[in-house]
Amino acid sequence: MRSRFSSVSQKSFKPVTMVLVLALILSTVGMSFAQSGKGLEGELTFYWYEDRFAETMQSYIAQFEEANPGVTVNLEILPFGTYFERLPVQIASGNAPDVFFLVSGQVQNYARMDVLADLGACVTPEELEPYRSAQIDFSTYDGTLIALPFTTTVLTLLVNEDLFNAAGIEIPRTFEEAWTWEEFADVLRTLKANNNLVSAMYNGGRDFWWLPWFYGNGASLFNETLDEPAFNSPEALETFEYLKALTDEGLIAVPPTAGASAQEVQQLFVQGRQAVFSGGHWDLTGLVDAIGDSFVLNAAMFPVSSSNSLALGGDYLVVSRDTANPELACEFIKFLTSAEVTQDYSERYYYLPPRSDVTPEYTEHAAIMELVASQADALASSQLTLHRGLPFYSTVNSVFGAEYQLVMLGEKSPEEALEAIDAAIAQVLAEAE
Amino acid sequence: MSYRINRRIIPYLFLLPCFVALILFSFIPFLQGLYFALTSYPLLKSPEFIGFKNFERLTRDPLFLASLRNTLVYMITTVTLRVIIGLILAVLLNIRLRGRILFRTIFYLPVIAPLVTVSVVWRIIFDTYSGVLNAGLDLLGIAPVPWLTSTAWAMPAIVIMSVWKTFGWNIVVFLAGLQSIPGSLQEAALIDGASRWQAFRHVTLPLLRPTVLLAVVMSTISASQVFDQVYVMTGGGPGYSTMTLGQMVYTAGFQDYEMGYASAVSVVLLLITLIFTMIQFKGFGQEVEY
Repeated sequence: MRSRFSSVSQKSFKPVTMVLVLALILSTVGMSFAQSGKGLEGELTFYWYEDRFAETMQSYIAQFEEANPGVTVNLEILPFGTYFERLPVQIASGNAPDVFFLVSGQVQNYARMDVLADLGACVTPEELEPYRSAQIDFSTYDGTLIALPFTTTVLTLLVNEDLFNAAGIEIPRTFEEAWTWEEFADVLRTLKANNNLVSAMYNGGRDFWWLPWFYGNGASLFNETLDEPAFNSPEALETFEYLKALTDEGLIAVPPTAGASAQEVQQLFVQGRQAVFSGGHWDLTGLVDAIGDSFVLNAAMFPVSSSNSLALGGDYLVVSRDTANPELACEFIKFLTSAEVTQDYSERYYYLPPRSDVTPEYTEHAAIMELVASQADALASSQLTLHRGLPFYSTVNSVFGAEYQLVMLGEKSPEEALEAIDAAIAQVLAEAE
Repeated sequence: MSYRINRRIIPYLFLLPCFVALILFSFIPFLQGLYFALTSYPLLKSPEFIGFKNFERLTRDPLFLASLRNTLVYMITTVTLRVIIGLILAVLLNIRLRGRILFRTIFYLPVIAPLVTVSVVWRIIFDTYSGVLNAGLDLLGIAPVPWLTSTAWAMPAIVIMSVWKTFGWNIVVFLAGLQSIPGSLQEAALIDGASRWQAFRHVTLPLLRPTVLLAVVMSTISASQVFDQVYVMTGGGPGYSTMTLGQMVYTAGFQDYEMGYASAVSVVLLLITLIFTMIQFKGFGQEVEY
């Protein structure tokens, strides 16, 4: 039985629907015009790092300004070495840039300090779909999207192919061919003996290169619920002992001084006096320039143990909470993280794209970048990536770095170092509460 | 306005810009620093008063204890070496020798060189495998020394560099002191049969005490603030072997963004410098006042 109401409704349904649809269309059109008029006009200040990127960044800005007349983006380039000293001072003094870059380890730290704008209003879930999930976790703080990934980085074992050939060692190119830890120790031993090297390998200068060994062996800085330290474990002890033995044997160089420049730490590798350089694909251009025609540069798959090991690092773009143009700022970082810009930037500077819909075609070092990409897919540890992004991680990292050095120098036993690291983590967690 | 009033007011008017600058850039920041030491102050948030909790935390912070020990070691060694080397060279340069002006210039040159630049150069000199220092040692048949990558050598390396950078200043101060002592006093001692060493020990050195006090106090203050060379050459490592209070202030403030904690370390640094200076005044004071 039909109700009176329903019959009236049916009668008036068509004209009412038409009116509603028309109103909706008009309002949508009106709104979009209003948005483009309001959102895409104005001036932004944008902080990026290193002069070598300035020209490229300026070209992206020119494209954005051309597509949006009435928009001006002022680029300021800060040296990376002082970036994280000047940026907080600028923000604290009320002169925060509208848009700025943050390195992976700082995203959550800045979010904790409540200086980043919520991007949820202008970035749709569909727009986030192409990104690696670990990097979106990294870009989210308390359920709020606060950053967009711009690049992806992973540790890269760069090798001197000539020295490997001289020692008759095959370079593993795939996950299946990757060395075990025992095999890797033998490889370093053979390389050192056959080529009379100072040391067979340089193993990076901080957590990004050191922690993968620990996480790859099943160790973890924190427990699963992130509320207790978990580093003082048999897995971490075994890793310390393994790396210490390689260092004592002269196979891995002792950790360099924290102040050493990139040129200084890569000196022995560049001179052909080290066979393996645990560095980064993003330094390829500089490293190749330094090497010249001295030897053939290649890359090897990171040795495997029981777990996934590599942290996904990279550059992130954020909008200041204090910006006067939040919509424009958000549109700008959406443009910078678009597939086109990501593709171009990755190809120019040997980065991995954080988006799955981008496939860079590297004109040089394609083989190395292919290995880097497959390594990121096969060995990326979402756990380590997450832990490096925790807001209080920088304090933990300072202690871990110092204790790692002390163990490698024989100044502390691995057991003492593990206790010290766990104590520091416990203190940081207590203070965070 | 009368001439007498003018005479009283005008000097203060000339001093006013300096006073204003001092108040704005030294006194107010100093008071703010004291206040921040009593707060929890993440750089990008507002400070929150927490009493003496930062100082309590310092007492159980192993990094602070290591930094304190390193700072004291650095201060004592560099001040001692600066003063002794400065005094010896000043005495030598005070003798009428050919080329002494050239030597004075050469010894003073490191003082005017930018500290960061000098630190970078010394970091390269100290490099284990390609540094010129180890190359020189190699010629003498001595094995390479891991200057900046061993906990045993890193602090001595920083002390060597710092003494090289600053002893020229002590030479100038001691030279000025030596030249203000009338030559007739030493001559009288020599005529009375004293040896040159006895004349120096019993005549020149006592008269040089005010200069020594100045050199020791100023060297102590500058040594307590050591930062640049540590930051550039070792970053406080390896481990914590060269972490000084100055470096810790930087780490707490600009890496961990804990301005309250960094301010508490600064206050401790200030107290240490004050205590050292008071001891030095006490030690030299009575004999200086003549």
